[in-house]
Amino acid sequence: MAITKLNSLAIPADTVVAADIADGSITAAKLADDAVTSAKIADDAVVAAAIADNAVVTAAIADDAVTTAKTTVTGANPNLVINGSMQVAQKPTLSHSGTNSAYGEVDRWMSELRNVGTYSVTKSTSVVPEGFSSSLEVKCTTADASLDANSYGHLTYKFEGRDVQVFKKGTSNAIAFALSFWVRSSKTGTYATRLRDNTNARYISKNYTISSADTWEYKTVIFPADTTGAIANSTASGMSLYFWFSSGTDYTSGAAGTAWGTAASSTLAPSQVNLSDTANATWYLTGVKLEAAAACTAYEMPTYTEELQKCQRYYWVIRGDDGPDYSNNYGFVIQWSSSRFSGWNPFFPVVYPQEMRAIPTFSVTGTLGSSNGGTLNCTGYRTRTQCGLGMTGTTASSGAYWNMNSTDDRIQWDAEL
Amino acid sequence: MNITSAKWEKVYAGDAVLSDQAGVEAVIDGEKLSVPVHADNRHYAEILKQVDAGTLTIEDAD
Repeated sequence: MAITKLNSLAIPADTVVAADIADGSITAAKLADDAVTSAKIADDAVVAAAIADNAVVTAAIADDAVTTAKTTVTGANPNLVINGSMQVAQKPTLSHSGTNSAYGEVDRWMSELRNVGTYSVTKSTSVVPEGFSSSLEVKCTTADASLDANSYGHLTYKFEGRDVQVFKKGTSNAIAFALSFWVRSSKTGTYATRLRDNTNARYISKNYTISSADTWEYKTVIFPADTTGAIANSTASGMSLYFWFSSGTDYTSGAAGTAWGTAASSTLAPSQVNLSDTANATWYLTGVKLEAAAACTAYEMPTYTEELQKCQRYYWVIRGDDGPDYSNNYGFVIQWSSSRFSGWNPFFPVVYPQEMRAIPTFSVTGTLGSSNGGTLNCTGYRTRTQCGLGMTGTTASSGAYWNMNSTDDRIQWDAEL
Repeated sequence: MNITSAKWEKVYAGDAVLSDQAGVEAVIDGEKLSVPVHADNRHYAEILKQVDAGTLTIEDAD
């Protein structure tokens, strides 16, 4: 008699081992609900390839089953550089030479020179990488092919100390400095960039290479964390970022740094090429981002308004070319209806668009017009948020005024670092 | 900074002088500036530095 069916009682325990079961013979339909418990699944038995697309639905994931350690989602870190996209340019164009440090047309970026010829520093809207509207142009307008040993030329960006506390510099938990930027130059070769801790006079320099002339290139530079020297938590200049474009041998003969320190000046701009040896040589910069991280993340483009508001903490201006021409009166006038006696000093409150970093320097440039108005100045009070703008030493008349009568007239407040 | 002159400024309320050292009128890098007496201001910090070094004198206000 042939045996056609066995019930489970006829099969002794442990008689059927895994090797006796043909591949594919136990289908899902033959498994009772709840027959396969987690205790029967060996560690690492279920690999990613064994899980069909969409097989794991949200309802199958226990609360708290996905922890932060199991995720790889990363976002862009905040950019600590204001106006890194070079959009805001409130200042006049700059052309300078000799030994001189001055803020150029683009807000927040200072040009510092010592005997490297003559340079212009301007905003460009035509030479830009894809996705950007602006760049900062540095052009050598008068060459100096034979630099002094102590010559230098670089852009400097200064951070308030309180804005760089995120790096935890000077602690055992210090974080690295990740710098990224777009750069382009008519001159290829090795360039230098540097960070300086202005509280403790510690610095580190790194190189990057421009490979192709007149071509935008994206660069990333990682400066290591520094567990020595905390940066003062204040509105003073806590740290500076330098981009070199020209240098004498005093600063170029050393090697790029691997750690922060107070090393010799020869390592300030290691191997830096000399942009000054060719008239009309150019170097462009934009998309500058410095973040507290061990790796760079994408540049997130701020709006013009966002950048302008941040820049106005350091500088803002009333300009003659901001408004229409009302018969040679360009949108700014202060007037006082009666000066009964000479020497009165009327002033009018001006509230700044932003709280400024420090009580600002005030200046007037151009060819403003006046009648009986004495001197246009901060004749009253002056704070970080407002001032009394007015006239010093009016003369007796039926009225006194100051007005802008030219597009290049400017009244400006400067609290830069 | 190249500072070629510095003179104290007065501050007024009407025609009354509240202070005759309220700011410094200075010519710095060829530009006439009105600099506040505030240590965090970079221009004033440089004026103080040059005064301390004996290379600059702030004249009395007019």
